[in-house]
Amino acid sequence: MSTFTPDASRALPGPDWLAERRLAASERLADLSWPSTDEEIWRYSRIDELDLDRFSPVPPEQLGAPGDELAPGGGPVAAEAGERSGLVVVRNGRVVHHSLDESLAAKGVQACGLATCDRADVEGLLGACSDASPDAFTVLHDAFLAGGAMVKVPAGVVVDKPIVVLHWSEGEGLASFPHTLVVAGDGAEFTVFDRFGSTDSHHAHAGHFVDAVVELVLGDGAHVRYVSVQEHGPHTWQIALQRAHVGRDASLRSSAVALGGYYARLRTESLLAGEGAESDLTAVYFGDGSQMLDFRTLQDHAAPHTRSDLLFKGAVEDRAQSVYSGLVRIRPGAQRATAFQTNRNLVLSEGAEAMSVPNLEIEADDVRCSHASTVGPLDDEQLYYLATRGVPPEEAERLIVLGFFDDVFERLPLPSLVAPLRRSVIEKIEHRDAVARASA
Amino acid sequence: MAVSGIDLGKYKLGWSDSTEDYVYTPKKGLNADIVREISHRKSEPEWMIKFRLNALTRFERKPMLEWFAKNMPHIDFDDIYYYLKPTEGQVSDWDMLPESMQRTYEKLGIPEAERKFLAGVTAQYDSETVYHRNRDDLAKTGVIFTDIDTAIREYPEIVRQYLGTVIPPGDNKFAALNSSVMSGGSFIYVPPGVHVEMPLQAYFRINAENAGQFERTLIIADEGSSVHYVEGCSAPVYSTDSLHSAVVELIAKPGSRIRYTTIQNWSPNVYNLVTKRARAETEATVEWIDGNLGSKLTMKYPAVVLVGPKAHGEVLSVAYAGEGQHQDAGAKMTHAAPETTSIIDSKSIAKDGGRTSYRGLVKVEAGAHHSKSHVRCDALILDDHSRSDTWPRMEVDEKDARIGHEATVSKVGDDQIFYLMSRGLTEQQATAMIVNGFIEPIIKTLPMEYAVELSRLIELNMEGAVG
Repeated sequence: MSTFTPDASRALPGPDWLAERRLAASERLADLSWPSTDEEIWRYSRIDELDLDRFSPVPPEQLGAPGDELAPGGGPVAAEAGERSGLVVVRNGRVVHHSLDESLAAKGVQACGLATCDRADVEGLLGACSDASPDAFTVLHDAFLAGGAMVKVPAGVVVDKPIVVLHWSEGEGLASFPHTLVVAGDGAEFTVFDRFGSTDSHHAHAGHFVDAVVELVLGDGAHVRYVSVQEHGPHTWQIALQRAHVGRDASLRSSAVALGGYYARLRTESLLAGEGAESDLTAVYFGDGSQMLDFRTLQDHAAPHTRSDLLFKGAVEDRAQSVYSGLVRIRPGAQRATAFQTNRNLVLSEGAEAMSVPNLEIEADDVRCSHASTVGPLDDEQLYYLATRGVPPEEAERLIVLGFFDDVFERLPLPSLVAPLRRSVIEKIEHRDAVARASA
Repeated sequence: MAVSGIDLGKYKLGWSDSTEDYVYTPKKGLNADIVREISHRKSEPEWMIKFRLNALTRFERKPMLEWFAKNMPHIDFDDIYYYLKPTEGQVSDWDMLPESMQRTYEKLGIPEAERKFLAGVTAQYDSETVYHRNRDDLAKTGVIFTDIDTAIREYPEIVRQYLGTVIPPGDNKFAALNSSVMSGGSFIYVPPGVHVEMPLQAYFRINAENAGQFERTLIIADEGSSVHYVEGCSAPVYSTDSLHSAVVELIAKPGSRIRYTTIQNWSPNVYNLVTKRARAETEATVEWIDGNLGSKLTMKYPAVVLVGPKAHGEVLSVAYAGEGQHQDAGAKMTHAAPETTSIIDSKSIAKDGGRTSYRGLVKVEAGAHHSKSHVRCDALILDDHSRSDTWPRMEVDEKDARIGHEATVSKVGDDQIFYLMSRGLTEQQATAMIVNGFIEPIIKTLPMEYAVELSRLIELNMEGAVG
């Protein structure tokens, strides 16, 4: 921890309230105990491989600044977000551009930078979710938070087209701290598309370190759709938290797509805080090369009549690894809660590996909870059937893999993403086949 | 809906006998002296003393695992009797036991079961086996069934070849503890091709206060043989805690089959911390049938290491946790060879503030291609202050392996109750019927006599209040 010092934190620009918040966090850095794989929540991860001394925080002159050119597209999926009603572009943790349809601005909708909005806009909201589930990396994040995106929709406002947030991180050996704060007033309805990308470094030991936090605060009766797409470069480290607090009769539909990174971890948590709250969490992940995609999920039912459904589906090939570890917790008194949790994994190459750890902790009796998880190869019978119909084996594999992902694609809140996602999946399989042919 | 109608009720096996006549005055505490004393009293060979002392060192060095410690308050290892010898030598006629002891076994129904359907019975009372008898025809088949202490003396070459090979003394803290102070437990060797038609049974009774029982069981089924072993356990109710920490090792040679049934009904002051593991060789089958009804805290995860191609492992488990009880049970399957298969089926019921946990691991090692595993855990929670956890784990290091896990947690369905009540059942009868149906898949794997016994244990008291 030679570079993540209170002095480095103090050097960052921004309003006083943000500087104070950073300072408070940076003073805790020295006492933090950094995790290791001995801890259950880090088991199977590559945390023991992470050497933070190899990284330093993005220096003030390399933070994004208004007027900078917009971040690179950041991958094929992000490019096809489709129509939008607002855009926030974040480069190395600070907003470089934001725009919003005038009609929405008139209704009080905000899509802007955390560091440039009024303190009153974020008071009690920034950190509301991440402080409820802290770890060493959320403290580090708070100590170096230079800005990030804020999307706020006032009570009762319905936004038709998605609001897009693009996070771009660059600079070998640098660490950036992207943040997205989404606030839905009572009864608000809208969709946020949040993309995370980083440089494609060619040096295995250079890369970039991304410590991201996404907070979703849903007021009573709000309905929010949130999609995050992670297309980091192959040597990027990502440790991210996405946490939602869902109010009474509110609903969250959240989808995560994870394709990039060397080690990309996403902690996805939903606290169903109000009676009748609902959370639908889905994820699609596909690991190749020597990637590890690591998911830890929490469906936390703290109120009666709450409902959560989780479907995480992934494939691994080459020497890639995936981890799914999820918990459904029904707290005492959360009667009539319903919770489902499903994790399915396809292992497409010898040498690839998938771990699945679905957990239930139930402290109420009038509940319906179930989980299911599977790990396995392509189904021989399906391959055989397609072969009898004259489909070549490589084509058959693609069809079955796409079919495997179909139900989770259908639950993506942004249908326009399905086509580019399918292409990304096919490209990963084709790349593996091309490598296999070249070495044969 | 009130479901107080379903009740294991008061613990019914909680009487105790006097310990005044014990032939060895016990000393509390764990140290090299007591370990040597135990070994000396058993006239053990030198290698066994070394085995014990080595294990004691490991016990002292080994930290308590974090998740293990979380479940348990501080255990004062110095406040436990490690060796309690109730009688001089063992007998093969119930009438030769001291009267109170004989009455105890009569009340537990062991002699009756023996007459009816067992090929051999061993009865352990605190640290020692006090009774053992095999049916005459058992010996003719070449089957060895005896207590482990006798086996160490009479069949040292077999014991030495296998003891600690499936669960080495350093495996975990409690395996190390057992390896240093082991006393009693069963030894079974089934020769190639021999099928033991009737079950062999052991009954473990803790009698003294602050007692520790550390039996060690070793079962070897040679090629193509089969055996069914059944164990039961109970203890008196004391205000202080007792510790039961057994180690059970099974070796299933190629083509053999071992079924190991446990009906655990310890009193609610017993910590039951047991390590059970089997090695299944080529085309062998090992089944653990595990009924956990008693104890204050049970932490037990029967395991099968599938080392030979086409080996098969099963764990069928029923747990009931009532007031003050925590059943932290589960299973572990390691697929270390191709085409191995495993099934884990777990059913648990939590009531009156009880807590049931399923903790499991299915691991498929690289090269164990075409392995399959299926895990299913169902939990019923019968009131709003009980709790159920499911912590399964799957680690798959092999492409061609199919691993599945499913779990459900629910209460008894209102629609099911409604349907049965519409057919004229009372609410309690309906609930009882549904609970019985819930555990039925496990019950039906038991021999008839045990199924009846278990059903009796899950006694349905129909006079509870409806709320």
